[in-house]
Amino acid sequence: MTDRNVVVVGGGAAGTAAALAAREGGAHVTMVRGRTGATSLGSGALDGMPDAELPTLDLFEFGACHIATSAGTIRAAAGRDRALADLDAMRGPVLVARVSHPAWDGDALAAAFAELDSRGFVARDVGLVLHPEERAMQHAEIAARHDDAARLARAAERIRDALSGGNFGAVLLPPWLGIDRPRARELSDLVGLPCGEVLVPVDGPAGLRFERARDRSLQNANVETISGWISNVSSLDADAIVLATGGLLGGLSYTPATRAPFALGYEAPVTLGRDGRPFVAPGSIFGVAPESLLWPYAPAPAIESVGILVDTTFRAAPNIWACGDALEGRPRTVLAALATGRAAGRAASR
Amino acid sequence: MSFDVAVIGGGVNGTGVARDLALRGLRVVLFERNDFAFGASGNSSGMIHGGVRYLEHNPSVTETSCRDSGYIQQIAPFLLFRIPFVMPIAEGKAGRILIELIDAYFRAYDNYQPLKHSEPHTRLDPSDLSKLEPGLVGKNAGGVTFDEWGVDGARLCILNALDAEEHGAELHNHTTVEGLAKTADGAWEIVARDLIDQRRYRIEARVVVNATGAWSPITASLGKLPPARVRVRPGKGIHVVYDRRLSNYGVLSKAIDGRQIFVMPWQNVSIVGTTDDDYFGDLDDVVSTSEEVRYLVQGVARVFPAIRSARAIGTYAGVRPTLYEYGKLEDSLSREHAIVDHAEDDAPNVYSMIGGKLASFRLFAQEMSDRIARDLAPNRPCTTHEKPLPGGERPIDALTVAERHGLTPVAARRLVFRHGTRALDVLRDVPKDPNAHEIVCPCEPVLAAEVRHVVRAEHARTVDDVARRTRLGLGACGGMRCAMRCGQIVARELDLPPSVGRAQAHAFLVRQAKMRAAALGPDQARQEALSLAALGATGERT
Repeated sequence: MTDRNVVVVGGGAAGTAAALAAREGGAHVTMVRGRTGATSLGSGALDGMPDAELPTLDLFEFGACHIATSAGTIRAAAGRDRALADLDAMRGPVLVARVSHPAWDGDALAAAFAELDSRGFVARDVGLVLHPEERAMQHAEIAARHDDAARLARAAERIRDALSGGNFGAVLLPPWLGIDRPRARELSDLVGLPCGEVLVPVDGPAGLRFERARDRSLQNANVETISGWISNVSSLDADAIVLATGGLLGGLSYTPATRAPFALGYEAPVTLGRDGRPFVAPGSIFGVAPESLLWPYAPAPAIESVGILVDTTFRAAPNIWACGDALEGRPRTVLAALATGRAAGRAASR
Repeated sequence: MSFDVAVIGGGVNGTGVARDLALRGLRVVLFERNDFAFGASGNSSGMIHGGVRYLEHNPSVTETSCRDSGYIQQIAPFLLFRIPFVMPIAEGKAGRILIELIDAYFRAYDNYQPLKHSEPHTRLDPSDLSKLEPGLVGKNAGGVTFDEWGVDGARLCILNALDAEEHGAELHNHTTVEGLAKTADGAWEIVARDLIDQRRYRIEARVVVNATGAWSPITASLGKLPPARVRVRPGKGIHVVYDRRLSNYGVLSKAIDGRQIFVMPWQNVSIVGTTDDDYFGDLDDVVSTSEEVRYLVQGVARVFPAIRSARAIGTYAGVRPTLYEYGKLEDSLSREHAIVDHAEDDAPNVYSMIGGKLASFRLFAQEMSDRIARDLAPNRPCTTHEKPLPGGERPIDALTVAERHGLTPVAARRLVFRHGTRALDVLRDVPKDPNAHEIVCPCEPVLAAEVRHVVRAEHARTVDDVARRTRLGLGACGGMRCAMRCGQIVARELDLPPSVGRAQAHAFLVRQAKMRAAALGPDQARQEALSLAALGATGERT
């Protein structure tokens, strides 16, 4: 235990990894977090291959897998929220649940997966919607209901009913398997076959699950958390500060027609950059041309690459480190955030 | 196969002519290369105006414009919505005189307003002006209000096309014409190719109408007609779309070069328009630029500064088929229309419709059809101003629809706005399929049942076509929530592989992202970051 005070600004994947790493390094850690950011809005799929050690969160399964998505795609990933089905662990034919909910079309999904993958996908009615009001609920609300053990057992029963008479190897379900914890494994044990969720890119429960897992981990690690905004990091009473404030879905903003179109939503003695250099203000009195910032015009659009400049130890200024999507020129993925967060947190604790 | 008339072009002129002739009992076939309303018709300012600018020099144009606006209201009452405008007049010596002149001018316009069921103008003193439109700035001598009607140009085209079809016309959407040649017995043979399934086929028609707007010279050259006879001067116009209705009134302003531009509430958004610049690019891929957006925003901000902090959610762009003249500024070009008879080019019974504007489409179509009917259907007068467009047969109350079908009032209102009484056709399957209530596009909103309906009944063949008919994916989220789902439904309805639906959705998202990029602001930038993450999560970001 050191008597070093570390303040982590931001509560997404990067901030959480930084806080946990700084605690491991023996520092006293306080996390300040504001509104929902990219991790809380995430889909649960993890991309990119980190070359660093990752923190253990009671949520993610690291390792190559294949995930089915509600867009009808099957995609490779480097890890996943544990509720998401890993198709690599599923033998066919796979039952795709058809449920009485307007945001879920089991038939369309079964047809789409069948076109991409030969193991066989068949849609069948599964009575997972137990109450009429659930038809008007968001995915995450129904997912929360399956945190209840009795409800999960009911679901298992319904799934077993649907499986009867068929020779199925696995079950794909709507993103309804718990908020407090990913319930896919428990459900699979009850059903006797691998069961898992299809990824929903927006409005799914993965972000909420992350928040619960984060809160548990921070509490176990004795990290103090404060909700609120920092207006000026220089005013913080800390030996080290870790900025994990995210990209545009966090503390970074884009304002056209100004000399500095990108800015942090707080004062900090750090430099914003792109391509390893400080961001150069455009030679136009009307600001930067937005076409140059955006997909699909730019392959590496500025809205995803502008961020805080750091050295190889993730230090942005004396006693200030940065990590995650707040960084310049790094892939904006959860794995990169976990890896850079861990490195920055450890450096800050020394 | 043999027809009386082949119409090339599915804009408002082509669909208008097809409808007019079909109502007169002629056998009509219509070819559209991209989609109905793909060009100028679906990318206009969306108004059926009364031609107030012609009042000074050509009052008869104002009269016919107003009368026609009244007709369109009669045949499709559900599709029009009132847009009151305010014209602020800056204070100063000139302002005091100007307001008298403008007041008098609109007093004259008031004489024609009853023809289109509009309110007479009012003269406002400065305090009235700021009360009516608190967003206005600057010292004003006062202002005037006047009344116009908004319309969804894409729906207008589609309803014309559908009515033509209901009266026997054949519609060939996404079908380009590759050749036009005279047959031995004096008819015309058309070689057509379906651009989606690539099927190539021939039909014959006695009369051919080239109603391809800015594409007209290209179409003419297919029939070996001299393109110079149908010369147009393509004028690009863009509009910027905002996430909500920003003002109570449409507000007129002047751009830096003195051109008149506006911000106006339109359907459930506000739009700022428009530019007019010579266009030399690809007519099938017209994209807005940030320079055009900045020009418009600067001009509107002078009187309505809140526009700078408002959230732009996209842009759209089209190319006017203006009559050709060299050496004039874009704005001073004639917006008139003309019929070119290619008999002089040794191509009897081939006509080109060039120029024109959305507000006068019905009249233009009537002129063209009268000419054709002289030989083919004498004694069959035009009825397009009397017979209702599909959905306009009788009034329909959106709130009753909402109650009866368990929709939210907003969803029902938007549905009835687009379909009139045909909203009931859209909802026919809903009781049988509880999931037909699914709201695919929450921004607009659009039901799954409506997506299916426009594929089954309105010749939509792609996600982009569905968006044009329903405004799916054109809201603040840019299609992030709905495009892929829409692609699944389209693929299923048309019996296409799911991957084709996905590719369509992807193409739609790319196109929309390009159109939004030009107008990117702080809030939309966050949305773009989220949309990209969502697209990445499905593995579809390429």
